[in-house]
Amino acid sequence: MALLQIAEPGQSAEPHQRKIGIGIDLGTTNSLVSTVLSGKADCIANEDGEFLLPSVVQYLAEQTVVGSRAVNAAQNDAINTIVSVKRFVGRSVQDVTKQWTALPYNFKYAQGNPVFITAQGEKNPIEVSADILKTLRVRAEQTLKDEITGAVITVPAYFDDAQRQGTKDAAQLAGLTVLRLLNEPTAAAIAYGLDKQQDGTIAVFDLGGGTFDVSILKLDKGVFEVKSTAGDTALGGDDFDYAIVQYVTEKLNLDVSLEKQHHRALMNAAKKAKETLSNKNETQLNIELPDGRHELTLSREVLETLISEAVNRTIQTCKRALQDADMTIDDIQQVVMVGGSTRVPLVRQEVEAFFQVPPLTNIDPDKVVAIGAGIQADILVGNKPDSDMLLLDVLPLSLGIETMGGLVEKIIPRNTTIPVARAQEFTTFKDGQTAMMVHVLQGERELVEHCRSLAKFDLTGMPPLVAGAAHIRVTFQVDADGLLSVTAMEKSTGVQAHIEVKPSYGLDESEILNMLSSSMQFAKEDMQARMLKEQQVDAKRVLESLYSALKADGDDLLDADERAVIDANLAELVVLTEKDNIDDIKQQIEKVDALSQAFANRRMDKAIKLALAGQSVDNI
Amino acid sequence: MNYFSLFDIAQQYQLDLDSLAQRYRVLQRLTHPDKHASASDQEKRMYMQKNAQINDGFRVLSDMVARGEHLLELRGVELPSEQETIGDIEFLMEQMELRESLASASNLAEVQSLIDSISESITTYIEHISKLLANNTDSDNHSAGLELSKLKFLKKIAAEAKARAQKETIQ
Repeated sequence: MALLQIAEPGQSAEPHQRKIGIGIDLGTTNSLVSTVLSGKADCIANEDGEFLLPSVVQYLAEQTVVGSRAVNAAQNDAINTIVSVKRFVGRSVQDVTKQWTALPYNFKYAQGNPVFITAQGEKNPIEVSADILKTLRVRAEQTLKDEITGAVITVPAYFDDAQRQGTKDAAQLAGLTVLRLLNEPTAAAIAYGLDKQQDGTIAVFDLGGGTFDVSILKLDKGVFEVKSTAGDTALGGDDFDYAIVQYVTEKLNLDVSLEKQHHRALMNAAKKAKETLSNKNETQLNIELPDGRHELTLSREVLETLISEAVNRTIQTCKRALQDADMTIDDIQQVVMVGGSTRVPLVRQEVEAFFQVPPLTNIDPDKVVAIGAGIQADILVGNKPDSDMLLLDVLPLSLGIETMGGLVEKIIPRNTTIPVARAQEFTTFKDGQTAMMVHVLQGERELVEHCRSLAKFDLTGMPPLVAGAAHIRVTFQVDADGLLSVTAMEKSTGVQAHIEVKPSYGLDESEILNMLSSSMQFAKEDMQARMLKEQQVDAKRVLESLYSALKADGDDLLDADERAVIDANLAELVVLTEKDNIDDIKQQIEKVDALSQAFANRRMDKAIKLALAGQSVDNI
Repeated sequence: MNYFSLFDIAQQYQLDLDSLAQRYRVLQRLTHPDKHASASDQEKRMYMQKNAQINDGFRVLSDMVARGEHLLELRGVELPSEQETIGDIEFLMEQMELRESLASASNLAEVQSLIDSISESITTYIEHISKLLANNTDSDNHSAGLELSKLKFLKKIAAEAKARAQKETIQ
């Protein structure tokens, strides 16, 4: 019985075994999906040939509309049409409304996550993001006619734990396996292959429709460090359009109290003119209004005077980013352009004049982040086993805990290479104290109120000792995505303290499961079938990797008894996988995992020893 | 956790930083979670934990102060308390003078010359600490602990001076 085909590590997969990894740029205004086909990364278009999916979701009572059709609805059904949901992920309603007044939504004022009340019921930002991601997943599946192994999703470099966790939760809700969350500027640098150089300092200039970010990246022997980011969450190509509209209104003496639809026509004409002027020196605006047809010639020169103030603001922000990174213009070797608005010639000129290097522009600035994510996804699913590329990331913002007097004590400073684990010891201040509260925060400031609250959790079940006698060791573990998990142990007694993490934002596992099962997309039987299939795939993966591990090191690292136990349980797993009891498969996987843990550890140590021994020989 | 054994290098204060960096990259390639993106959850966790140790080990071994403290810990030597360090009046006076000079420096040249003199002093400290740690006697280990905490202070001032120089350059 040929149950599984096993490829030796390092051996490249057969063409038909190629796995599909996708890269997703989940943007504030637009989102894109990309993949690598025949060695080349490119974005995937929808059936109309459009690459950009507007990040807009309309919730009708019976239907969810995502993308361009929802954009049109945003005018007349603003209450049910969520735009720029990215601004809400991992944020409270208060956070968002402080910055954006007059939002057209009905909010439910709850703790933590904001909730939109729509015609389809309550929707939180994670569900809205999941609907955008789901649309992209389906687009990729239908185009590639294959199952997707996993996705790399990009996030802004300054996203904190809550925002990253929210993005990851959304992906899970959309039925995607997240291979990695990748910083947007890093993805752009990967798209240009800048990760292949040893060292360098790179500025990533990202001017989108409504947001502007500039990041200074430092690449040191394969480690990408985000030295600084600066930005303006209310500056983008839309401001160029407004400037043109204002000019046209004045020039043509138009009635400023235009109806919505006519204002829309004016905005569209302005946008089109702006785009034309990226390639031509002059263009004609034709606008149909109730009082007749209006025409106006607009030259590039005039456009440039109209937008110079906005462009200048981006340059001022670049100065700030350099200062924050403790760098000068001379330190910057490359500049990567991201976002559709960097097509405007004046933007390119000013950026070149400021940084004194010609910016990299040959990859479509709308697609560049998604393309970088797609390249990384292709590597992570294992299509390039010989690739030497390794991308090391750093913690974007310091993690700390609240101490006496509302101060924050940093436990892991920003720019520490991740994954990372650090432990901190706490003690009790009352006799017989059996519980304490730990408040985890993220940010660079000293006061609790100036940092972001990530979680408050209670350590319970501590042994009742005299004050100061209990030593509780709390370990903060940050994974490669920059996500935090916490474990705690009482040292003197070895009692593992129970931690209940209450995320201030984001969802816990059971909430995600609930949403998955209540999602209208899956009928109950579908849900069962899906879960069974997932368990079977999981089981196959476990079997595949253990068979190949046993073949390589089973004789060497296991004694006969250990081997027999593992073999028997693998055989049992094979049997169970062919039946349809989800729980049985799950339990057997857990059993096999537990039984093979020591073996896995020995294999890892052996590999490390071998590799380092090779080093010593090389060095002599 | 013995970071010297993790990187399979001799357990001593002096080490070749290039070779350490090379070993770090070898270990990264083996253990980074991206190299195990499609492994089982258990394996992913195992590699992530190992990778976190490697990152921490590299940070500790790359740093003259942390490396010395790690070596002393492995030798079972208790590090000096803060009171013990602050007890050295002569050192405290030197520190205060350095800080005053930095605060009163009015141009880049002055800051630069201050940086030079601090680095010289750091080199002297490191040589001294190296000798003490190589001797590996109880009293020398104890002194090494004290000298290491002074080195920590000096490095802090050096970093502040460098930040100041950077600011002067930008302006």
